Amino acid sequence: MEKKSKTASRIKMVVFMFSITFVFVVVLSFVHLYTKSMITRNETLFLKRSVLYTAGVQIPAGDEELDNYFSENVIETVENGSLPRYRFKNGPTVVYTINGTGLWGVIIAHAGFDTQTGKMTGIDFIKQSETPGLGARISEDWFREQFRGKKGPFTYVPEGENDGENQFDAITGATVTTKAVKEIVNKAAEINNTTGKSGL
Amino acid sequence: MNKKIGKITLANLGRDNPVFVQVLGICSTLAVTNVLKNTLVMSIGLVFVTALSNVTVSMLRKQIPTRIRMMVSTLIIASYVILVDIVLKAYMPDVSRQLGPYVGLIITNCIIMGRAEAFAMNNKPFLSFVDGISSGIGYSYVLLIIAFFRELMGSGTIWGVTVLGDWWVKWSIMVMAPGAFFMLAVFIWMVKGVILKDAEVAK
Repeated sequence: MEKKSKTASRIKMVVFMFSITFVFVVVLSFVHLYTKSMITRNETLFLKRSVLYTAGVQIPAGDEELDNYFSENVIETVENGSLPRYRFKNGPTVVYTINGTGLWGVIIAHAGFDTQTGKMTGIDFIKQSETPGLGARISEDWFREQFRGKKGPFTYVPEGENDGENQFDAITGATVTTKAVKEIVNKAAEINNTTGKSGL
Repeated sequence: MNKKIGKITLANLGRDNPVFVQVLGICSTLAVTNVLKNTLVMSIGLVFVTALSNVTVSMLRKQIPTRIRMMVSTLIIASYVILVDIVLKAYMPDVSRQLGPYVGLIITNCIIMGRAEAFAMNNKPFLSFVDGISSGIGYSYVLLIIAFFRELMGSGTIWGVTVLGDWWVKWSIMVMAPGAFFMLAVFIWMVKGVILKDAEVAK
């Protein structure tokens, strides 16, 4: 009798755990399905805004306008295995997707170039997990804006001391991140020099 | 009933505060407190998850077999955290991107598990809800105070707005995790030495 009730309580435990897991997973799955399209849409809008920011183009205010502008002016290409590239139809600008290794993980950036002059139109970091308050400051405006109109190969100088078209301000206390950014912009400049003018 | 609510709330804010008395949730205290904005969103997330998981655990408390209660609590907590993550991604993509991995960190916060184990397992849903909210607030205000000083000293800003000019030499250590250890230690020392002095002596 004792033994039987022990088995029964064990079975009850398994059944309970199974059913409660089932209930929660079903609820979460529904929430996931319901919000999936919204999340994908947010992601696309984010990427489009970032490309336009990098190219130095005024970003249209509404979501619809952004979509229209993008489909009219930008050609996205993905060569086999490489990261996407965005070429602007009415101008020399190309935005490259470049990745590099930061302190805590991969950094993915959009780097825009004027293919005629070889000057950068801008940079934006679409994925980074650097230290908040230190390396993560690469996402701040002052850091991103300083690349506009500059030309590689780049070197970095202490914060606030850059003058000249191939220098940029480092971030004090975030040397590893700064080095990663240097590699990224130089890689982008290299790609732009070799393939930028010849088309895609 | 009302008396009980007041008692629980006061205890969680002061005498039994999860951060400076129970010293729980230190992982997130170190991680998020270098910028006020992140701290606030983390706090809101934590209040939400603690309250809801407390209510859920409390409602199921009579059905949950004792031996697997921790597994069940973990499942409930994890589900709510995933929910917060999804909702942020769908409706507040910018905040979600700012917070990045921190939302997931809520799962590892011992305060939630601690309240579920210590309180929700033995109390009615409504009281557990009150307990969850007040524990969350007890955690939040301590973190916000720490974050205020860390952001001010580490970056010279408050809520991203520069308040200390160029003359201020930024303390990089305040931005990094060790800075939080110092701040937290100073905070606990002050609170225990000044405000909770009598309680310490009575022990």
